Amino acid sequence: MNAKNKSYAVSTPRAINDDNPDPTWLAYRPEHTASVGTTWKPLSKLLINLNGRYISQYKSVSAHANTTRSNYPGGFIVTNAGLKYHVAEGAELSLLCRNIGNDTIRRSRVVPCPWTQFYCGSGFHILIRNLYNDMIVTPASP
Amino acid sequence: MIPATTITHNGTHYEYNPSGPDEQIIVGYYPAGPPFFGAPIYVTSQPVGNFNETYSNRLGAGTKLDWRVNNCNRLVVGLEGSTTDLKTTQLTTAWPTARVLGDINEKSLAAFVQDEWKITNKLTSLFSLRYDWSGINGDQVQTSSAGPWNAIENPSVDAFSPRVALNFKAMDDLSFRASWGMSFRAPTLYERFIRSAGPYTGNPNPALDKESMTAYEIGMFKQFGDKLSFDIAGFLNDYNNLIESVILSNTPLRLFQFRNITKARIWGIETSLNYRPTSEWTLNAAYT
Repeated sequence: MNAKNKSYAVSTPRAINDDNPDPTWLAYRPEHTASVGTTWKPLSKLLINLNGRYISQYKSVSAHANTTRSNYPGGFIVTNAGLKYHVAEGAELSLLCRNIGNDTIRRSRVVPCPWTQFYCGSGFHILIRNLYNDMIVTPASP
Repeated sequence: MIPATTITHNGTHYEYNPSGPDEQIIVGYYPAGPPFFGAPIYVTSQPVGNFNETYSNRLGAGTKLDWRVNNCNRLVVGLEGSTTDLKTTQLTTAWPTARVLGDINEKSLAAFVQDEWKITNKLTSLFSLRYDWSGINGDQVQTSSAGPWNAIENPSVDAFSPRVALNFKAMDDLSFRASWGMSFRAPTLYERFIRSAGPYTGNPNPALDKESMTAYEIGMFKQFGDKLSFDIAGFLNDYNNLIESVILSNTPLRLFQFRNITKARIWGIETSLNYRPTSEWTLNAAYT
């Protein structure tokens, strides 16, 4: 992937981004990302998901920039796991664990991102069935 | 590294200097030898209570009508709306006061219409048009502790977002697609009002505007038997007024601000491979 600031100009006053080796590259956009994942449905109502995503080292940052990309974030793999249970028609329960390996993910060397995160959610849907049948105007017979 | 003394981790959350004297963020240490003998390198000090306490309530509702007009035409129309109440100690229109919660409200409305038209047995088109409006209740922002109030130039933003897509099914297991579309993104409340990020001091930008994007994509999908499929697509996204964080390096407070980048472009290739050995298992791999 390529991510470029097409209207780049040195800021006044000078911005930290100007110190990147390629300041036209948009900050925190990796050149390469790759992911692998698997989904398992052990029961008709249960879905389990596990995935990992690799993010290459950032080519440009907006904090602590330097000309050699020393200490630039990136080059890490984030792994997530999720579970979704279909409780009843129109109702489901979900659990999600992000960054299960507790990997160090930073956008800057002094600003740590949250570690392993846990989410619990529920979803409800109301379906009004066959509504469109009432909308169809049947042509009169010739 | 950040020493544990600057941030308190209470098992489930971080508190940024909740009590005690002003704390200083250390970004590293000088070498062991002279002249500084391993002394810490401080970048900023944070007063007591200068952490972000947040309470947020969001209420949204939407409705959609899916109407099969005839065998070749399917029409979807809908409305959406939401309101968000945000009370934080940092995201405020006035310069933040420690432990005092601000009150910002954001509302959004959207209406959309989409038509899926099966032109021939092999060619399908999709046309959609969406209108979005988003606004906040503040019209002025204070950009320093005793500074003047500046008028927020874009307290509400709106846009029409059209999209056209074509899908050509060349064979039962092979299809090609192409699409063009425009979209927009309103500045988030954090981008409008952020005041602090670790050692950096946020300086709200009263002129911050929406960002908009024109997207192009061409792609191909191929099925190999019942279990394996492959997808590849090239994309190009042209941005106008892309919202980015900019840190000004030679200011004593290490000020940063969200600004609009006039023109930006992101383009590349996406590929994905899906394998379904049984009905219970799915494996996938992707690269961008």
